[in-house]
Amino acid sequence: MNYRYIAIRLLQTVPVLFGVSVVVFIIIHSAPGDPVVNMLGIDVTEENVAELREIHGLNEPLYVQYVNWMGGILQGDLGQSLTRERSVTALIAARLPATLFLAVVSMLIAIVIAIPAGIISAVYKGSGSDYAVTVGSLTGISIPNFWLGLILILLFARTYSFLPPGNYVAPSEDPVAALRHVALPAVTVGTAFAALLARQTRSSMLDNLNQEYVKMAKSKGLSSRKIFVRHALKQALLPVITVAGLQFGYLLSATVVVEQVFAWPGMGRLIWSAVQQQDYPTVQGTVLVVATLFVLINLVVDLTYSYLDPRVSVS
Amino acid sequence: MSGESASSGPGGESSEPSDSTREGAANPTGFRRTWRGLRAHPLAIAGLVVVSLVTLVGIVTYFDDAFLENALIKSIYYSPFDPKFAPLQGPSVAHPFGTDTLGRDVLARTIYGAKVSIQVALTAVLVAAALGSPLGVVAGYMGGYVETVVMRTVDVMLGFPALVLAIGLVAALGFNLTNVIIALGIVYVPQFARIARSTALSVSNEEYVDAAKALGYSRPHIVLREVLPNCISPLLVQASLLMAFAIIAEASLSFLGLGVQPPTPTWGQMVSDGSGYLTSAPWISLFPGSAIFVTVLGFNLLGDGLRDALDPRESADRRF
Amino acid sequence: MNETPHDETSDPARTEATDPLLTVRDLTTEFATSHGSIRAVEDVSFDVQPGEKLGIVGESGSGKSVTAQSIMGLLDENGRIANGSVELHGRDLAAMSERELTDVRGSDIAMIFQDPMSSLTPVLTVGTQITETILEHQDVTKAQARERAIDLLDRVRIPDPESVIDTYPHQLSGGQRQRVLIAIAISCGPDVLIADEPTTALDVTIEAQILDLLEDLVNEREMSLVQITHDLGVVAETCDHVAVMYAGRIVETGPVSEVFVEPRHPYTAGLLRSTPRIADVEPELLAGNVPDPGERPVGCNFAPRCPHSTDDCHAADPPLEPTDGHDVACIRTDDIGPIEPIPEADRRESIRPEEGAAVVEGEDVRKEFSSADSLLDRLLPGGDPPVKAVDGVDLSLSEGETLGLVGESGSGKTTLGRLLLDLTERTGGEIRFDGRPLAEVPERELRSRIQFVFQDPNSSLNPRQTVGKILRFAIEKHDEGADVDDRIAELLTEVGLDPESRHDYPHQLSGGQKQRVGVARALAVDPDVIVADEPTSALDVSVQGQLLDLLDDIKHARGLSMVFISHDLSVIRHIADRVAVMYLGRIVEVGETEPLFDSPQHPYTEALLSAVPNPDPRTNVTRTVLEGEIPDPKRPPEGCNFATRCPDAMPECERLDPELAATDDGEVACLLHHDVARSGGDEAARSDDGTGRRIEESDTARADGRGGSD
Repeated sequence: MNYRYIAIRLLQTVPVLFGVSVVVFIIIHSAPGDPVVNMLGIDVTEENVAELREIHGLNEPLYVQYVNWMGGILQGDLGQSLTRERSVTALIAARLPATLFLAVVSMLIAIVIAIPAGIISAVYKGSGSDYAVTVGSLTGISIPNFWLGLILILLFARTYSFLPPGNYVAPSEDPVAALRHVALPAVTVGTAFAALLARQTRSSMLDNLNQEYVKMAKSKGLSSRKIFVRHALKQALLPVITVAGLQFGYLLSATVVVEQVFAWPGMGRLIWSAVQQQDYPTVQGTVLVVATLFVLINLVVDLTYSYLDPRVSVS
Repeated sequence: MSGESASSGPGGESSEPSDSTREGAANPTGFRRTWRGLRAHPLAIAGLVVVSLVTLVGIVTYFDDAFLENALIKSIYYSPFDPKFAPLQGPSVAHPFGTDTLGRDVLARTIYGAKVSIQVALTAVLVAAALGSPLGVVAGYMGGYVETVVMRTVDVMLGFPALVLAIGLVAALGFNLTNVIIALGIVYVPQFARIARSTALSVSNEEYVDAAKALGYSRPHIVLREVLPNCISPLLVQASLLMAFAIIAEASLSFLGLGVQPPTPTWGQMVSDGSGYLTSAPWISLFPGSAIFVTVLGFNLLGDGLRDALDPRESADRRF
Repeated sequence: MNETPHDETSDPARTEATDPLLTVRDLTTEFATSHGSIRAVEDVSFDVQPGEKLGIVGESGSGKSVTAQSIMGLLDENGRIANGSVELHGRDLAAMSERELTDVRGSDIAMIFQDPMSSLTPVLTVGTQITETILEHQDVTKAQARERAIDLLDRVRIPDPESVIDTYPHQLSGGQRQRVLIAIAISCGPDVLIADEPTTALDVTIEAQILDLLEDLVNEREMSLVQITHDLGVVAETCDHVAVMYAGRIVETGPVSEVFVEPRHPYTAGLLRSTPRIADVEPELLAGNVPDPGERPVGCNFAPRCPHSTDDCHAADPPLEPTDGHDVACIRTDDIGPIEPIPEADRRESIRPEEGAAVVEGEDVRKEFSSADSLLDRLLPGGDPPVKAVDGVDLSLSEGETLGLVGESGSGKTTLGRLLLDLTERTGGEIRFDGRPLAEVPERELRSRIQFVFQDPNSSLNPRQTVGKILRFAIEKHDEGADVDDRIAELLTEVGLDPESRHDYPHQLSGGQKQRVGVARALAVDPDVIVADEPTSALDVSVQGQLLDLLDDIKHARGLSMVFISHDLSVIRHIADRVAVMYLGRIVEVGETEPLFDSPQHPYTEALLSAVPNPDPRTNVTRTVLEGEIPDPKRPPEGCNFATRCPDAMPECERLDPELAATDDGEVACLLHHDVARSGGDEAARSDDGTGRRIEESDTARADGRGGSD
């Protein structure tokens, strides 16, 4: 464990998080229109507007608003929703588990399919299976996920009761039902992810199999299996881990769209409805949470990689 | 001392046509050689064909819409805008793709959908490349503070999942074509910057860059004439792949209703329109969805083909 | 100190008596490429007796590596053995299935690869990579295998094997990794050991250690050794038999004592004559180029370049026939007879520069590189100390002279060369050009008076610019009004290239041609001084000679002063008037070439000179093999930098740091010759650099030299 490296990476993440919050703030506050006016509707008087602006602190200069907002965040308060009678934090807390569950299941499905597929494709390069995997992964990354979701719904309409489209059931309540409900959405999200992963695995394996040290291992008289597992595989999977982690961001993006298709009550739907309703505090809060999650996941992936690759952890 | 004839390459010897042709054929990443490399991969050619076709349609429809008030399509076929026919008609000879909920011809609308998709993808990616690449190259070559500032900013921008950032941006800017392009452009600039920087970093370590420095050339010259041209290949590949993403991104935004607004036909929006009629009238979503799929596939194939063709390892001669 | 007198055991009569261990007959290997099927190796036949040391020697394109790979069955995917047999213990390896081969590899025949960095799997410990070999072929427990591995590491002279066994390859130095490779190879007691360029990637003093080790191991275990190399000196010193390959075929084979003393094939002779030697002999040129594998001529492959060729030579490939003690593939050998391997030409009387004015001077030049990756890395405590690439160097270059700068990796010679041109900014000290400090010389003038020739032909030319464009940039920068096209043609002719090559792209040229373009570019501005950084290191032996000759001619024709940087002492000998030897960022000895080579003063110089393999098998060489590794430049030793490895070190050498001081025969930095130590030690120097950092330099470099020494 190289503590110095960990410390440096942690310290490097702080300004990024700070930057992210600033960017979110700036974007939201450059929205046209006065949110208060939108909220109140048509019949507004000057006093109503002024009063509400005062209440929401909208009259302060921007940097003060930012500081107030940040201060609130550090205490766990992300603001009040303009259109719903709840705090942003409460809204997010209610929705986040559904999205995370979907994301995790999608990732698991993708990993289980993609990595073996990529490995087989590389080891048996040029064969029928290689061709199948290559074509499959190309299709996977080219298909728009919302369209795929719709097709899946269409195909499984008859077996509705077994694999219902959407409607989140918490795994803690009823694991089997939870899995049945998440199956279609997870496959939808997971497909593109799996395709990416399979391609990455394949190219990483191919790179490795061509390395000099594989030839060296061969010269020692080791069986192909041993060479493959010990010398090539571990080394090849390292970059795949990185890619898997980094592409988690893609998963988060994908859930926004797929949750729409399957009426899945997660963060994605929350962002969408908040945007539709011009509920800016909510948009702000959710985007911030998603981005922060992404940055932290990247950090964890980075540190995991450095732990696994002996070349990095000992400097 | 022995003089040596230097023309030992596959170009042959003195019976060559003009020198510029000969140079063109030998240029390692020139147009001709890239073409030859691409030719070897039939899938890449398929991709190129698809991309060219869709781009052509996109350009023609753009002109038709912007300058001819749709006269062209109206004279050949049906207008994508006027609901003239019976709604929810299945595919037939008169309407190969059927009609939608408002009675508009789906084929006409699918063709017109290409306009928005191509416009967004090409513009956003090209602008992002034009802005992001020089930024990345300069950061990679100069190092130091410049690099730190640029790359930290890039890190912040890359800290957002792409679509989430795009949604945030269009929410702030407004839901129209220009803003979608701006939003996607902003999302993609850091991607180009990052790739440009890492390529520039390795190119800067080449000795010929030092040689230019030893001759006294200024930094701007070195960046422009020595470093940048050698960074182009990976950027080209990236551009093609990002265009594929851009098309999906624009379609996703339209699907969510957060992109270009009706009545302009966009593929994503058409899929969304048809989502309530999946079992009764699947063609409304099916055809635009397929259009997205095929176009994206084309860009991906092209990008893969370019990557293989431009890979220096492929063109190096075997050494025994 | 080890003595390695040349071994002269085998003579032809004895060879016939015993059965050969390894028999290769008519081996032909093909590769499938986009240009069709290419034969890398054709009709190769040779025998290896038990206990024999065979050297397979050739330049690039000769097919020597492919031969080795074919024997082991380790060809790339697109390669296959098209014909021939490889018999080991009576079984034909070429006909075996992959499964059968896994039994043979490692236990009967083993291989040592060229690049120790990329031959070891990064994610596995050294110990795992040794024990898995043992466990694969021998019936032992894991604990026994581990014991065996520790024992092997000790046998290959790695200090502290119990801890090294659990380290990862990247934590070791190049020399240590090569020892690990050797340990792996001998772990199961193979009968035949194939070493593919085992020392090419290593420094000269480390090379000496490894060759010494190999010799001991092979003798002790009675293994046969097949050594693949391009270095004739290595073959002469370590092998008893040799097979010379050219363009995929064996052209001559026999005992080293005969082939290298009375070569019969014109190529062998040409190779021997063009090899730069450390002895006072001027190498001759071998004209022409090795043909590409796909473009070999009909008939004898060497005929186009052969001074003795006739029309008959172009008819068919000559077979390998016994002639007068060894085998030669030349139809004219009876007419030509044995050829003299050592050229007789007198060393060209170099125009001794009359104490010309010093044109470039350096005083206490320093350059430090920070090992920090990022801003934070620099700020947080506990990081690596900076690397002192150049640590207080004084030198001077007189007008018209060639100064040779010699050293191994980590010596700082390349950095010093770049500092002279201000290509890299120096951290401290002063550099003067014509008496003026660099800062006072306008950049335009500096850039047109001193130029650089780069090392790597594959990196020194912009791949997207034609030769003409590359030169155009150089010419226009210097003289805007010039007739560029004329100048380009002039320059190309001057460096021995066809003016039409201006239209070629770098990838269409050979290594030697690319280097010539690099020289032309440097000359384009009409400089007075040229700094050449290892310009021949990436080239084949026969091509090296051509380039060196060119540089020498140009230098004399234009009256240039030159700094020639190299790690190759044989090359330096023939081109330099004065030599400066560098070790770990400092100059340890300076002197005129002849006296320095004949009687070096500094122990390092002496070790360096004796470590260079000599292609003449008749000379009896007493080699000084240094112990230990080159220290980590981040943590140089206390006192004299060389004290950790010096065979003559005295107690004060570990306390005091010697200064470069003048003696009767030049300048030396060694307490054996004088008393002058660096004044104030390094403390004063460090605080001058302004880093203000307390660096605890109390750890002397350990004998197992941690860290990279590249």
